[in-house]
Amino acid sequence: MKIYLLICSVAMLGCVKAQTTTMFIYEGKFNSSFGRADNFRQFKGTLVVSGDRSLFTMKETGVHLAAVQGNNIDLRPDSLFTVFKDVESNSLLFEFSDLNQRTHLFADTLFPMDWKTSEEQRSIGGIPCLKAVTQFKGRGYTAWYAPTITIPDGPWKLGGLPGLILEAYDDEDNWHMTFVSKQEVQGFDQDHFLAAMKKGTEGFPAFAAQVKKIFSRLEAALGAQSSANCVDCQTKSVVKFHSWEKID
Amino acid sequence: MKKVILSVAMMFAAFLTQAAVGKQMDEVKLKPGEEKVSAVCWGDEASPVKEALCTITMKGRIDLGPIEAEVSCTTSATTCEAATVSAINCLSAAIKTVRTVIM
Repeated sequence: MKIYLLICSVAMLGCVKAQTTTMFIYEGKFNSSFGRADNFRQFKGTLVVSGDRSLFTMKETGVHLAAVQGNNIDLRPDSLFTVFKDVESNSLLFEFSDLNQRTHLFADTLFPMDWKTSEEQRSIGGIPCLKAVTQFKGRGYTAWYAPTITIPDGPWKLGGLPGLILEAYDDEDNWHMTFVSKQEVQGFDQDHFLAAMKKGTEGFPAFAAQVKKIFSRLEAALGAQSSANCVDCQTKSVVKFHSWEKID
Repeated sequence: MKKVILSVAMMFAAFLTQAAVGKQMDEVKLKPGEEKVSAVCWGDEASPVKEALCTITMKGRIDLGPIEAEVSCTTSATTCEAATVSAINCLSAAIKTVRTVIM
């Protein structure tokens, strides 16, 4: 019996090891002022796919130090647009970094996009791709997907097409990711995300509520500050909040 | 003689008034050009202060990646120097406040 169990365990381990993990590497840009000003930075995106699960994240190329510079406070986390997807359980988790740079995980709907596909073709890295467009959380997106790579995934929250998205960008080209290469890797650490899924993660409305809470906190703090110390002046301070995804 | 003196006095008074208006107009023209900080000066348009001659707006950003807060301070004053100083003070205070909230 022990020998039988041992053989089964070894066989199972073999199966696990046999599952390939591929890292698709993207390069692109993100304008953190999205449309209101040019604040573009270059990013490297990685989509690690292992079976039905994947992890996308993008890191700024070069040195990134969160800092206070002049009138700008840069609180961007090291990684942006981090998304964990599990097709089997129809789950999607995304990361959000708050004012204290603490990261939180929230759940969102997996591939809710209503894609409009077309026959328009293009080659990306020598791989033939087809075009698809969609509207998602207040923005229009274009995706070029490869029907020959039968992974219905893509950068960030995008996916659900009959092939891997090799290039994606929004209508204003504030966010743009293009596939450059791929490589086999030794899996990726899923424990953090699986534990969160098991524990139960709050959804997009909770994320929206947290963002609004941060905004209120800032608004209250700024509203409480005394205005100018100039007798003849009249000062009006305004705080405007902008979110990449529509949160109303 | 009295009439002559009165006429001269009135002319002198009129000259002084003109000179004062001219000086004021010169200031209006010159002040916006003196603005050197990265702010926008619209002159007296959309000014919340009655008789304000210069409005300065200064902006700051709090960048959280896919979320951004933009703080702007718009100050109107009779001179651009006063408006600029006030706008800078306002934005500095705002940034300081945000830092306090974060820390």
